Amino acid sequence: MGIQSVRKLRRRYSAATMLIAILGLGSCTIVPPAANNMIPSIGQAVEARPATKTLLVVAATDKGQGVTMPSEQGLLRWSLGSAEPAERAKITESIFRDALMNTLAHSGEFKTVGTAGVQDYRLDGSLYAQQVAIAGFNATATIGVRYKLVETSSQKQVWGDSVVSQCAFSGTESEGNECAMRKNLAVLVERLGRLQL
Amino acid sequence: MKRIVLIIAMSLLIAGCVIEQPQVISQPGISFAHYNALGIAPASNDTGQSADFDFAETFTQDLRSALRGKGYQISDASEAPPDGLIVQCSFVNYEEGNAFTRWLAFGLGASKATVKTTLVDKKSGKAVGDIVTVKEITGGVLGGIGGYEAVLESVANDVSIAIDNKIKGA
Repeated sequence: MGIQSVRKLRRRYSAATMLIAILGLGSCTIVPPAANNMIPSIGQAVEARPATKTLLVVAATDKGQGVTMPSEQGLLRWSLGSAEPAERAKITESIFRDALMNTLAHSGEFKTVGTAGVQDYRLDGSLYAQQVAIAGFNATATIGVRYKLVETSSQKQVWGDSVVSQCAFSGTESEGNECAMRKNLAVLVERLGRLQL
Repeated sequence: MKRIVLIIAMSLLIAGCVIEQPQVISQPGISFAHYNALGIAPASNDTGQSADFDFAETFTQDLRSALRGKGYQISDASEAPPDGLIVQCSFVNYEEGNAFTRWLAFGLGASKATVKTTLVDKKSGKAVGDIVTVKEITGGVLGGIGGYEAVLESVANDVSIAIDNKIKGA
């Protein structure tokens, strides 16, 4: 075997090792999204006031259409450390409900927050879009939720809006979705804080 | 080695060209078939940033043009007939990007736009549908010169297709 052949083999080996290392690093970080990581820190945006009203939380995710997370698994995602299947990174209905409920419970805007029973108000949250866009080395998670606050006694809608939030991320898609949802819920808390309930 | 570099480069290109067609999300059972007249409200800039040109106005004109091209009766939101559908768009994000940077390094300097669209039934005043559109232009001839406008046109086109598909039940 000549020197040239050895060098060629070494180059191939180095390239293959680098590739395996990149893929290996990526696959070490698979953690599905968790509701606890989506709760925003409640800042000064919410004016302190005694909470007297109770709230029922109803959360839903769009099942048929609207979840537009691309299913392609490009090599870039692996090299970014995002080796999870897109379906696994998705925020499910139960995760969304837990994140929504815990956020509102932490916000202190309502006396009690629950998912059952008759309460003063009902908050409907419909997660209608979750999307991860990857171009080059940039990755952005986008979350769209339509919120509706209804007064139970009158069945009148007190407030409603569609909130779209984004988060540029460098980790896994789960982390990107968690971050975008955290921002979304922070906007919700801020908007609810403005209401005179 | 060259082959590996080529495979990586191709993978990056494929990863950057993922295309997802946005859809109108609405409550089950709501029909859009009767909407023929559309009132287009001026798009709002909710990004908290300004650009060298009025991108929200440029986008509004692009959207009017795209929907008119699909055969709809287009007017301002205030002038739409009572049985019309009001289209309200707001920018969540807009980045002009830079063609030279795009040409230098793939993935950098992208022109980006994220638009939230709410469809409102004029008669009831209720929101009946939502669309989120995310677009990025990452390259093209000489880095995609004019990407800052092309990304707006691309979003407007996607929004018009989503509305058209919903009305026609496609």
